[in-house]
Amino acid sequence: MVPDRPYLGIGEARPPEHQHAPPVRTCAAFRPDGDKTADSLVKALDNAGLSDGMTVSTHHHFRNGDLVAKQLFEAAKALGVKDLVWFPSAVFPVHKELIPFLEDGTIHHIEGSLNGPLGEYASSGKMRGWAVLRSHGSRYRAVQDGDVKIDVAVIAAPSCDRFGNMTGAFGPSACGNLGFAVADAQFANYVIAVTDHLVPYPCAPWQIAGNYVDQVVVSEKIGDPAQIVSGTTQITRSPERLMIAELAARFVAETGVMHDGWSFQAGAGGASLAFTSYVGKAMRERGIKARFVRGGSTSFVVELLEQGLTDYVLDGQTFDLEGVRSIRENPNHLMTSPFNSYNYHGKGNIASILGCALLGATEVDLEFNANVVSHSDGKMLHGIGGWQDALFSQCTILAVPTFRNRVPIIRDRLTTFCGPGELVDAVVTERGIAVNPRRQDLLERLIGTKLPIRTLTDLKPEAEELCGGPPDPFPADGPVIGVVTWVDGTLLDTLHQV
Amino acid sequence: MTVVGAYGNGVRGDAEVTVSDAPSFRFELVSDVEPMYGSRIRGQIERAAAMFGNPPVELLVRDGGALPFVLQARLVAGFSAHLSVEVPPLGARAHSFKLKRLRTRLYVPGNTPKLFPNAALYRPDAIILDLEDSVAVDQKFAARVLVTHALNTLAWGDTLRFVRINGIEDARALIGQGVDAFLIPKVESPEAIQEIAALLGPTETRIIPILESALGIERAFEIASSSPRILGMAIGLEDYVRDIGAQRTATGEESAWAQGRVVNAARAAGVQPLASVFSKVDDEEGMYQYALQSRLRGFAGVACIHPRQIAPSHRAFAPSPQEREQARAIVEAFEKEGGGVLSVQDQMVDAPVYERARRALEEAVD
Repeated sequence: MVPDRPYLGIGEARPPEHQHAPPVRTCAAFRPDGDKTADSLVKALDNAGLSDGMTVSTHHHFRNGDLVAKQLFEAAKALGVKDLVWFPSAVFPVHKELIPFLEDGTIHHIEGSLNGPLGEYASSGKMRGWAVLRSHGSRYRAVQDGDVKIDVAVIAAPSCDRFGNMTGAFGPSACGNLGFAVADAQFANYVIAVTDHLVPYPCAPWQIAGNYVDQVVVSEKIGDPAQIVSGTTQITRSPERLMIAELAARFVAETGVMHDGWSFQAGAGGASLAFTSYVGKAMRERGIKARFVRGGSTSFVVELLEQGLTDYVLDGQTFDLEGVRSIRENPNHLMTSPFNSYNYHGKGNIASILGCALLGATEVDLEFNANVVSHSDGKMLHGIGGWQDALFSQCTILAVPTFRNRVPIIRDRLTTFCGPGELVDAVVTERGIAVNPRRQDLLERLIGTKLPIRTLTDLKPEAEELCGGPPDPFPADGPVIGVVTWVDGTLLDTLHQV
Repeated sequence: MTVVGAYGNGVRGDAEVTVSDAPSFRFELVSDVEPMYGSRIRGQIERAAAMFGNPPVELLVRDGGALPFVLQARLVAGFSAHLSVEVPPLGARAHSFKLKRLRTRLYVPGNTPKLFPNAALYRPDAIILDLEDSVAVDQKFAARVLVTHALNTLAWGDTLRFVRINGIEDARALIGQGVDAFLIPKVESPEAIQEIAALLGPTETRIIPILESALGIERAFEIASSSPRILGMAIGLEDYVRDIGAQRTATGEESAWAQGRVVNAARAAGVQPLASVFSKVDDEEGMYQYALQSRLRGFAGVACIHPRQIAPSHRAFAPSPQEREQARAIVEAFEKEGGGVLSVQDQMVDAPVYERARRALEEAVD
């Protein structure tokens, strides 16, 4: 469903009074021995009553190693079902193999952030419906509020029993955390678990309880382990990203954002791993520790936990084998779902408790508003992920270069508005740090430090001079192909055909 | 057909220009930044062609987001090479040489333009735009044109601008572009220095010979004192160790004598002795140890091949807190006494000791 309410400002739009609820079921409809296995995905989908125009969901905890989405649409096609709406928690380059299903009418459109080949496909106007871009938190919210009614959820389960209890911590396709599938398990009309590692009851400890699950299907292979988690995640060698990460780490150290008992969000992309590493070093030198790190779990986060530099890891997604090992073995490495971490229509979430989040952006304007989904040529190239949700942290830092490949990042006007500048506390670039004037407290704490404090107004012309002037603005005159929504479900901006 | 520059395969910030004969001038442009800069790039191509009299060639420009100075260098190199005409001279860049310590000199491959604009941000004492080993043989000319444009265009702050030349033609082409020093590789005689020095005329450009052979090391003092333009003298260990038939070891004992020889010769000639590179880019502690060893041997600085080697090197060349404390005590005591010979913390202090302590305190200020 495309939202029809415009953005009203942070915290202004009020939610519906009651949550969408899944239909009530009876145990009488299930075998008393708890066996919910179906012979095949085709059979399970048939049992689910899959029919034209329904909404089906899958999840991205297998990242680029996901084999389940394709199996789902192959099965749907075998049943002759058309015009499905695919509601993934995120898409990856591997999902370019779904383009034939978009072309043959099995899939009508994709309801979610698009990137890579699917982003190109949608940006070129080939997809029939609009892409509705939501953050991870807002995806949970959309399901809870009833904006999206999932008819059939298909959950890839690295380890599962016949009842449907499942975990991502064990099995040949172990991926760590299954949190992204929690909303679907709770709210979908019909839930199918697909596993390549069926274990005798109980699959313990489970991350998602089998009480939510209608059917269990055993598949030969549900994921490509090499693409699910990398063996080890590696810090960027890009000197510019390293410099940005180091400046950001010095910034949090010198402003006191980093203090004993603080918390921060650790990611895996861009400058994030290096930031985690620099922050770890600074904590070690200063003899302080974090209360929790929100991951993006990687070997770097696990190292902080095991060296006692943080009491807890609150895991949102597990990126490498060390992360998988830690979530399996360490009771202080906890699985969280977008409900815990990001959902805006709940009674609070982790994001706003977080002391600090370091995020990327494709563009920033002079008011600190930012774009994360499109490039300056208007193409939809990145998912929102948890980006909008994490903006609510107490110190949100955008780590960006001042230009990428001749294109200046600081602009008069964003190509796509994805996040309000009120929530951005600082922009860290290779040419200096711009602190949001709303944060006079941070600016005061920086007096007397050697950090290169600049303003966006001052950084912008410097990059433009190198790049040969400001870029021509994106005309946005093509047909609308998608919309960007805010964490509360209101409408932020439109995406256009390129 | 002439091809300069690079495009595709993950290359960023560069452009590839292919020039071939045609009945009249025409061009085709493929650019990753077409929507933002397409019209400006077309204008730049047309102006560059006009500079060469709109010759009868066809240009294919594949642009991966090259900055304007990079695109200009690629166009100029493409036209010049294909038409066999001189590179049109760029205006001279006003610049004056300012002597400073050379704790770190950062090598930047001369044909990889995406590394240029930010190189000075990492605050090495000097940047070396390299036209020698890091540039493929068939791109030497294009790299020279690129480096010329980079020196002419970019802001370098107070970082010294060095160029490691591949041959004397490089030096000739770069005169007037504010080069602080040319590094001359594989120097084995004073004549090699004097030949370059003779080219430099009224400029303030200095020279740094690199000794990388047994013969070069033997003639170290002659070379170091061959011209008043010599700023420092470097040792290149990879080639040297091969030349003497040894192998590089972790302790470096095979080159200990050569390193000592370079330090001694450079110091005797009053120029800065400069240590070689440390090749393990990811090993910051290793870099620190290497730089510290170099400093203890008497070198004034090291070469860096990645910006992340700069901070550990500067740390190694800064006096430690204890050294600083002791230096401060010596300077204070000596200045209070007004000279002579005295004892500070059980150490005999005279004028040379005082002088060294005073210099250490200066060096402590980054």
